[in-house]
This record gives sequence, structure tokens and C-alpha cells, in this order.
Amino acid sequence: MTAHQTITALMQSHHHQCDEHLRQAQAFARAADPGGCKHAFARFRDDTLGHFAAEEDVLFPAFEQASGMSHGPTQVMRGEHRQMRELLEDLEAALADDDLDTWAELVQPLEILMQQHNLKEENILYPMCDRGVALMPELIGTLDEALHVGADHG
Amino acid sequence: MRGAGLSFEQAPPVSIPLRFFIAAPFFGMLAALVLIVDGERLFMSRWSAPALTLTHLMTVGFMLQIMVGALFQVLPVAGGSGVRGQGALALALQPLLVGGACALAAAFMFDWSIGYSLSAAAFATGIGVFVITIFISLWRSEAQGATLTGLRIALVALAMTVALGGLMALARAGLLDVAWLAHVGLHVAWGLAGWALILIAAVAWLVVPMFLQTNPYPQRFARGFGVVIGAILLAATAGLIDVVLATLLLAAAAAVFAAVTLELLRRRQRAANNAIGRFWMLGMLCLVVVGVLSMFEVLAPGHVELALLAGVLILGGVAMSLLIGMLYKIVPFILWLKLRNHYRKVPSMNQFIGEFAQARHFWLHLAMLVVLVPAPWWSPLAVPGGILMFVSSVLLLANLVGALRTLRSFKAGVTAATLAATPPNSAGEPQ
Repeated sequence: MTAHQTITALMQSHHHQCDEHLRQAQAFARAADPGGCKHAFARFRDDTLGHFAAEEDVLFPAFEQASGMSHGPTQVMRGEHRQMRELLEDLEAALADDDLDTWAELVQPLEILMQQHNLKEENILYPMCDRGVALMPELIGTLDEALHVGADHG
Repeated sequence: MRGAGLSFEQAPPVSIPLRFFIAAPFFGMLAALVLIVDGERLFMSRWSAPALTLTHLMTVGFMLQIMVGALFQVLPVAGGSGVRGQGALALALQPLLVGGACALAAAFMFDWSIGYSLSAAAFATGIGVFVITIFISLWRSEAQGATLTGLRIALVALAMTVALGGLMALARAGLLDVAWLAHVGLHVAWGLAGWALILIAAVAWLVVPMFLQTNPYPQRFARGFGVVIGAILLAATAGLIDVVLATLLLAAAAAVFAAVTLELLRRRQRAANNAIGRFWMLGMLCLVVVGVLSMFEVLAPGHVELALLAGVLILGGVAMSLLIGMLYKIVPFILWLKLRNHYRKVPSMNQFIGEFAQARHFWLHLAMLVVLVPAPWWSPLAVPGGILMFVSSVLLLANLVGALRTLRSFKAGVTAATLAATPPNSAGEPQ
């Protein structure tokens, strides 16, 4: 079970975990170490995809149900997930070719996209979910489980 | 759960921020011309006509254009929704701001009294509508966070600055009592510490970790910063504390903000070897010096040269460095994103404004500061300093236009490729 009291805290700490893996991958890329970069990037990608999946399968449907907004913010968040998934594929393709230059170029906009996306979630969407969580007290636990399942699946 | 007005739209059309960004360098060029043509008189006193002209070309021209453009970009991220009717707002706003800034500069430079009234009317209308519209969007927002708090306070400060400035302009035009001119200390405090510093800080909470890969700012510091500055300004305006004491406190707050940012930059894993890192490092170093200088000015007033030096550092060292550095990250990103929304394989951010072009601009900008810093003591330096400032503004414009060219030539290439691929068996592959 999760040690986090709120959805915001749980998801924010998972965002930070993803950030940390990405920073490690960038450090390896700067040190021209494709092996290390691949390894760290794989962890980042798995965590990130797991995060997206947990949101899309658990959190967003709960939000949509509670708010009655199925074409609002969650729709935009899904669109941004799709955009970032494509970038993750492109980054992986660059790493498969050991092309660290292209990787470093593509990782710049991904980082900004991801930070913008995370900020919107952390400042707006998650707090809204927390305010509605009384309706579904089990949501945090389900979400926490989904984050870990997602990470295992990659 | 409520969520009215929440759209989460990603960003405004790029034409909205870009039109403001592209206008800014022209004000930099005009300010540089004032330095070149009238530098000797300018460095006699911060209250001289050319000094007031240059100050306002930089603040309500260069800085305001970039800050307003950036606000359109930042609001969807910070507040979860863009500005309602933003296209029409931007279209109406820019001519008012540009016209107001030009009228004000001409009024100061040539003692043209109608210019004061015109600029007061233009800014009152433009900024009035702008602040109210943005406030409505921010009010509806459910978002939390230090940036949003900062933006709200900064907007109030902008309105206060324009209100006080407008009253002083009308006094200069002979329409109001000259006693209003005594409020210049408050006007400067609301403008620099309230609007500019809080806005820069509120944006820094977002972009410093995002663009410069630092750790986040300490949360309490970020949350409290704008509130404390706003409270000091209110207390000074209400006469609860002396303007001198307020200036001392505000200068200290500015120096602390800069020191915290420098510490974050120092501690980050990546060395500050890219241009934006250098621009921000330089801007924050100048801000520390400005804070210390202003405190010294308050405690031991009467040093004309030090006041002028503070002006050089605020406008050239802090504002230009931070804003140019920010533009070199924002502009490539928004253009990249615009293309990426339609095509998979697009130019990299570095291809929009190359690292070399950014670095070249940084060194030129640094040279400008090195020349202008001693100018309060030896005014002939205003001419080479002004020339460097002019070239710096041209470089900024050239880099922004170059980024747009990259966008256009990519689109033209895609169109040509699609046309070439279409004829018999359709389905080209841009996407």
C-alpha cells in the first residue's frame, strides 16, 4: 500500500522518479556512454509509460466520471501523452543506432514538454482529483498498484 | 469537482507571442540610438531627458513586449487555460503598447507634452484591458502553485505602475498638479520590484528547473516571495512604511532571489556551458550587484554615478540578459512544437537558433555591459556602448527572424515534397 496521503503527492513523487532516470540518461549521454544511456533511458521510458498507463486506465476515467468532463483536460492530457510516446519511440530509435547527438537534440523538447505537462497535472488536475477523492477512497491505492504494474510491463 | 473554464490547451498560436518578441529588438535599437546620440547628457543624471527616454524605451518597450508575449505563453501552463479571446486581445494590445511607448519616449526626449497625454491614454487602455482580461482567466482557474500567485500579484503591480506613471505623465503634460511627480519612488518600486521582479521570479519558478535543469526552488521561498514583495509595496503605498525603508527591503529581496537562483545554477549537474545558462548566470549576478548597490544608495544617498550604474545593470545586465536568454529557449521550443504537431521528423530546437549564434550574442552582450558599466564615470563610452547595444538588438532580431525562416523553409520543403509525391498514386507521407 502506498505511503502517500494524496494523489498529488503520489503522482508527484513518481514524476520526480522519472525525472531522475532522465537526468541519469542525460549524464551518460554527455559522457558519451551509449551503454549507460540506454540502460538509464530504458528505466525512464518504462516508468514514464507506466505512469501514462496508470493515468489513462485508472485516474482519468475516475476524474471523468466524477467531473462529468470527458472531453476536457483529460483529453488534452491524453493527446500530450501520445505526443510524448512518439518522442520516446524516436529517442529509442536514435539510441538503437548509438546516435547520441540526435538523442540529445530530441531529449531537449521532450524535457520541456514533460515538465509543462507535469506542472499542469500537479498544479491543477491532481489537486482537483484529491478534492473529489472522498467519493472513491480506494483510488490512491489502485493508482499506486497501477503505477507499479505499468512499470513492470514497460 | 468543478472545472469551469479549464481547457488545458497546450499553447496559444505561435503568432501571438512571436509578434511581441519580434517587436522588442526595435526598442533596443531605439534605446541604443539615444545612447549614441545623447550619451553625454544621459550620463549626467538619471533624471535627464535622454536617461528617462532610454529607461522607458527599455521598460515599456523592450521589456514589456517580451513579458506580455511570454505571459500569453505561460498562462496555459500555470493556470490551465489560455486567455479567452487572446487573438483579438493581442491584436488590439500591441499597437497600443507600441504607440504608447513611442509617444512616451518622444515626450521625454523632445519635451513633447501631447506625447505624455497620448501615452497615458494608450497605456491606461491597453494595460487596463490586458490586466482585466488576464485576471478573469486567472480567477476562473482552479490551479494552484507559486507561479500563479506570483502572476496575480505581478499583474496588480503592473496596473499600479501604469496608474502612477499615467498620473505623472498627465502632470508633466500640465493637466494635473506637479505634486504627482513626487510619487516617482513608488512608480519605480511598483514597476521594477512589483511587476518586473515578481514576474521574472514567477516565471523562473517554472523555467529555471525546466530550461536549466536545476532542482526546484524551495517551495516556501517561491510561495512567499511575491506575497512579501507585494506586502512591502502596499505598506509603502499606504504610507505605513517609508519609501526608503521599502526600497531597502525590496533591494534585499531582489538580491536574495538572485543568490538563490545562482546557488541552484551552481549545484546543477550540467555545467553552465550553454548560452541560456550564461545569460541567466550573468543576469542573476547583475541582480545581486543591483540589490547591494540599491541598499547602499538608500543608506548613503547622493552618488549620481552609482544610481546610473544601477540603471545600466538593471536594464542591460538583468533585464536584457534574462529576457534574451529566455527567448532563445522559448522561441525554438514553440516553433519546434508547432511543426511537431503536424510532422514527425522536424528540425531540432538547435536548428531554429543555433548554439553558435546564441553564444556569439552572449559575448557581444557581455562586451556591451563591460563598456557601459564605467560609462557613468566617463560618458564618451556611451557611444561604443550604444553601438554594441544596437548590434546586440540587431542580432536578437536576426536570430528570431532566422528561427522563423527555418520554420517557413521546412514547411515549404514539405509542401514541395508532397506535391512531388502526390501525382499518380496519392498518399504522400507527411505526418
